[in-house]
Amino acid sequence: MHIKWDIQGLLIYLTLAGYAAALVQLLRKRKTGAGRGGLAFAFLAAMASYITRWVLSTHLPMQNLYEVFLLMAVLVWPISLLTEHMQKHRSWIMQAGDALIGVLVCFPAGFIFSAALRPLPPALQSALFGPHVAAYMIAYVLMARAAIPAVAAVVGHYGGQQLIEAERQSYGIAAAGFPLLSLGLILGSVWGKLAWGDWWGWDPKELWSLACWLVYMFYFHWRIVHPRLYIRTRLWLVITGFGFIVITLLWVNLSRLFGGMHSYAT
Amino acid sequence: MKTILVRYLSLNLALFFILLLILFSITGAFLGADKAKLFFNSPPLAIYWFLLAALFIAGFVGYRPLRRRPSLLLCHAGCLLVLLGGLWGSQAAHQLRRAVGWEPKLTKGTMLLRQGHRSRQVFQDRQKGVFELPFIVHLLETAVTYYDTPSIGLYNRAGKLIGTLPAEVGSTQSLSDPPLTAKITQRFDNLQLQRGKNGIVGTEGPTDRSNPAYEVLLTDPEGQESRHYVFEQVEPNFLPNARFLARYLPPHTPKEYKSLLAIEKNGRIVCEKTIRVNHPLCYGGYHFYQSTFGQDEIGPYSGIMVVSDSGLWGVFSGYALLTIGLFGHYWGLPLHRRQQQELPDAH
Repeated sequence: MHIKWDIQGLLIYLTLAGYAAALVQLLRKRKTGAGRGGLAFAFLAAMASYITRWVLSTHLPMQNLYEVFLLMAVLVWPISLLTEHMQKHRSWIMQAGDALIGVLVCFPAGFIFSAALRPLPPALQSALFGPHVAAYMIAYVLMARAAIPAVAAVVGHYGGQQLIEAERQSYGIAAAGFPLLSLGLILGSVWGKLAWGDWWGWDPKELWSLACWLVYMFYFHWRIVHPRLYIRTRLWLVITGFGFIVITLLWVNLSRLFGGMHSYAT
Repeated sequence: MKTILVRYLSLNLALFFILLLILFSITGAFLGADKAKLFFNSPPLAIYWFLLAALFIAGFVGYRPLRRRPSLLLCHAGCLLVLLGGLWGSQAAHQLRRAVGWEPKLTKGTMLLRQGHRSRQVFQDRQKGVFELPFIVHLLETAVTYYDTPSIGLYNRAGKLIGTLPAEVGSTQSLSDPPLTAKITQRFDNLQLQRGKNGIVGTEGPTDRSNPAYEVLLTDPEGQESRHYVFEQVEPNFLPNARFLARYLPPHTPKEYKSLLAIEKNGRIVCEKTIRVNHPLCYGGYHFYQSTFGQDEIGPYSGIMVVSDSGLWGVFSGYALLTIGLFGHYWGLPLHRRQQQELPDAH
């Protein structure tokens, strides 16, 4: 447990409070826009915390899990607004899901991961460092958001048009995230070639990332093979994809079972 | 009927092959990198890769929607190129090309070069031994820089650290327990100790050898001085009557490793580059990477990893096609459709 008493840590707790307040408001009122104030506040606090981290670390703060979770806390609200705008669809469930994602990424950043500043090792001093991690983090937030309607439909036992609508929504967001997920994988591979000599090193994290990418690929192919059937299976595939992301981010990074070249990221 | 059958078969086979690769990837993740590499290069998996490549080609030929949509075509052509590039660059393909009489090419190996030395020999592994490159690699210069600075630690006889001072000539530190002043008075590149009138004295030795060391002057409150010599590469031992021990504390957070390499072919230098992590040298079908760095009594040495570039352009071209295809399909097409839908409203 790492409780952070500095200004940057306190900003994370404010972010967490903002997301939690938004979640409570949305669950109580069950009305679109109920938690908007909380989400906006959380975004501003997360942004302030991230900028503070950037100033303190003197390099792009994407080096370890603490920093990337902080980045995800910043990304939640802008991505929510963007996808709402693109899909021309708003719902309190999606916004509650956004707030929940915010809480889930802020909690480990605030209480579990160490905030100790570390200098950038030579391998991370690359122009591909920022784009690789940023592409992944945006994709992860999008895929997490794609899982919200899927989980809502599965848990809420949706049927008929409601089920189809939830899947359509889920697909739209997953489709937006998939090129970024691929870009993250590709940039990582190109970077691996420049830094370690191999464009693919069979490292556990690489393999989990590939498995995660393949689950979404399976989902997109499944939609083509069965254009009108197995809607629930599609939703489960989006949820499975998100489960793989969680494994890639947490288990692979934290577990001693998966020691590899990406161990500096913990 | 035939078209429907081809579509059904190719798409379901694609699903089956993706599912298999998901299972292989999860298995490989639990095996660890070394075993996973062997697993993915094993004969059954080689069959899988060839069948997957064949499925892509069959898809292009038999599945018309793939040809009709440029973005989808790019995605699949990209994947195929990555796969073919990977196969072409694999160790098995290198061995196969050598067996059929192509010019032998190293897949991967390491050169250990000392500063100022040159070689064409690359060590592969115990089984394959040494490979000779068709050119010579010179290591003109090698260096490592650190985020932190080296320091000298002073310890009492109980082994307790009583103070540290930056390893720079002139740096001074006052100690309270026991009351002492420590000062670094000299640095030597090759320290040689000689017995003089006032005890052991350090002098600078010949430049062809390396024995970096510092002279630390300890002064007690009565003004009594004692000289200590601190070696960078040798662990110190307590002398029988010494009250203190000084130890060199090297920096431990590397910022950058770099080596200036030159390639010599037919008696003349054809290429020169400073390689660092993320900045390899590419020459003659090989990439040269800064891999390790070390220093001993003879001087600094650098481990240079040499990797074949075979198949790399296939892989990178595949990546480019895949990226363009995916962004075109999932971002470009929906945006285009949206614009098309909005056009009538504007009128």
